[in-house]
Amino acid sequence: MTTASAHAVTRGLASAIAGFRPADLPAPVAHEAKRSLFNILAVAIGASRHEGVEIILRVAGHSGGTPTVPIAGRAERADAQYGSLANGFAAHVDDYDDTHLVTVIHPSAAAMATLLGMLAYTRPSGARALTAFALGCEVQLRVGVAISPAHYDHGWHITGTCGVLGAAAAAAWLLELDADRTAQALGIAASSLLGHRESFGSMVKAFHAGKAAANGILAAILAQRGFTAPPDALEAPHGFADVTSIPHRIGELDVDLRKNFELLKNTYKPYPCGIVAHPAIDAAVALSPRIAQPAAIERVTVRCHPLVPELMGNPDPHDGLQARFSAIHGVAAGICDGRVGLAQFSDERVIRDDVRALRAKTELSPQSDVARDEVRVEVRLSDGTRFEEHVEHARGSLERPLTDKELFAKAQALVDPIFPGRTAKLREAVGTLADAPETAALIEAIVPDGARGH
Amino acid sequence: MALVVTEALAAFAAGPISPSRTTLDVARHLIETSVARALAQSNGASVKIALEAAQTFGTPPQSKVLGHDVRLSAQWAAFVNAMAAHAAVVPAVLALSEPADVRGEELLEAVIVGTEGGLRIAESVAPDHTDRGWDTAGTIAHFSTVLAAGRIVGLDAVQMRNALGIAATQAAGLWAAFGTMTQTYHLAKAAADGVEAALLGQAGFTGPAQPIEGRRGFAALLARRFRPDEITSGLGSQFKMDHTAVHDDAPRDARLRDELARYALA
Repeated sequence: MTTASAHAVTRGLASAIAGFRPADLPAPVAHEAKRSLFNILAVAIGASRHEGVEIILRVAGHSGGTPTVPIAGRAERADAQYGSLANGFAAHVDDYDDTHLVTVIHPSAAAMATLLGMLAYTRPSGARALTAFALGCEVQLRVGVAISPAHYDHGWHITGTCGVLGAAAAAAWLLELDADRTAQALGIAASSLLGHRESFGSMVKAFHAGKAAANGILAAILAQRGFTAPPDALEAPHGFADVTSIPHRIGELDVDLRKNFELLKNTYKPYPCGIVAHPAIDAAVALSPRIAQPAAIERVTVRCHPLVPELMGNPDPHDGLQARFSAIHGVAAGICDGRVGLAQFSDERVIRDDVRALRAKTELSPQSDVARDEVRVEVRLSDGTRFEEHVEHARGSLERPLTDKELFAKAQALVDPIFPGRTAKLREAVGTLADAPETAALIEAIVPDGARGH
Repeated sequence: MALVVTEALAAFAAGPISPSRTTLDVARHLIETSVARALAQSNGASVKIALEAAQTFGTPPQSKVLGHDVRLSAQWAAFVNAMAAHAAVVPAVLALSEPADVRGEELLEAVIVGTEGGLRIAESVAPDHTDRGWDTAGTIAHFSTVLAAGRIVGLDAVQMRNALGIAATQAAGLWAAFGTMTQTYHLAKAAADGVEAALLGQAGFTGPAQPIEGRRGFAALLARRFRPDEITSGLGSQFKMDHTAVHDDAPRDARLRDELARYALA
């Protein structure tokens, strides 16, 4: 591990970014970057008809600039600001994206939106595109590790706050800025941090990922032209870390970007809701075939990590968005339907009588000795029968990562309703990206047939 | 009281107001000063870079960039003009007034709700918000610009609350940037974000109900102590900005005027 002097974190990081070459990306990291990119593009395509995407594109239609940026799943394009906003928003809004568990950062949404936002300005080769995406993720995660857990605990939505820095890093790298200007871009980005956890349950949560990309792009474009910023914005007194996250270890940030990749610890959600509820949903899905009549249930007790009620404690959500913050809904829907996907978080499903009744019988029982990816769920029927399911490691956790096959099945369920039969083409385009002279095939895989490729 | 802060601000900014002559005078003074500064500084180095950067987006020619024969979208005209004016509220209002073709009275009212709302929020978290390293020119200005911009585009109280939620989560600006161009960027970014938040709110984008006073909202994250009464007490009937009016060469309340200068005029 290489730590810069505590007084030169931003400069050290900027130097490492500016000096990074595609060949510095080790094969396992390139592989994980491809899994992340494949997952996030599928998720964004799946959410491409969301009302929030429609709103952003409507505003872009009358206030946005030259439509250069492809929007995943859509025929329209938008300018670099609104296009990044739309792509990042779509990638995060279904809470179906990736998670770096130590920091709870969802790095791919902002990194992908930054990459698509910068394509027209920088025309990168496939290898440069993949590297920019990986760097965008990695910088978010390194900063995130140095300010965790205080940062998130204070109430910051770390996906937004660190997202801006990762986006600035990726955009600066694509613009081939030198170390000084990369540091300026990071400095401008640090003053554009965004994201309060108060917004959870509203459209603003996903806005954070999109706006992080837009702000990072703006910061890099300003820095490219000589706009000045503090060269030590991350570690300075009254800088990013001090102001948002005491205590922090920003001085220990590992600035050698060629090893110890945090991106290798990225995970992919099997269920479209907050990750802390995933063990409980695993258990519910496993219990479902054993329970012939959910109406015969008297009580469901979920013995879980204390973060589950803290982050996903809504006992009675009224729509799909609220349900994403309800572990109780995830469990009830899992028992009733035997599966949990986007359909279980539709507004109609959330308010139907069977899940509402089961939610009322389900309680979260936080336990200090239950791990974050663990759960014990007990179901008691009115006739006294009991079933119990213990999940030691949730599906999609680091100990039990989604296989490439599971990831493909997840992507297919998201992409098929928008572009029937397209998932294999998307996998192929991402899989061969590092060898592609340009990004045309990637763009063709994410926009409708006939929409002009980049 | 704490439960109604954002809602009260939204209702104030979207509803009828009856400003006194003093309040109108303060608003007029802010407009004159901002425009004069923007014209004087229109060729400054940071302004030129901001203009070039904004032009890379190729935005539609909706609003004038002061001192240049250039039009940009309202959002980016506000960005560049705020950089030149060292002020956030007036550039945001002017940029949106041009495409909306508003009357002078509406323009003044928008400046008033933005300035008054921002001043009250600043008072509610003073002084430790600033002591912790936040630059009010970036943080508070996000509120003042969205309130003013929201009024110009005619948001109702619900849209205004949503727009406040979009802006609140972006309230930022670090003291570490003092002495660099990024210090002025704080104001410019607030102006652009305020305009964007108003446009998104108008189009139906939704935000949290209590972005200012909520458990994980602005006040909890960016200040240790929060006095919601500073925002709600007398809101709509008393205008704190009146105390910043200059009489006999001295403002009646120099501290308030200093606060105002920090986030509205810098």
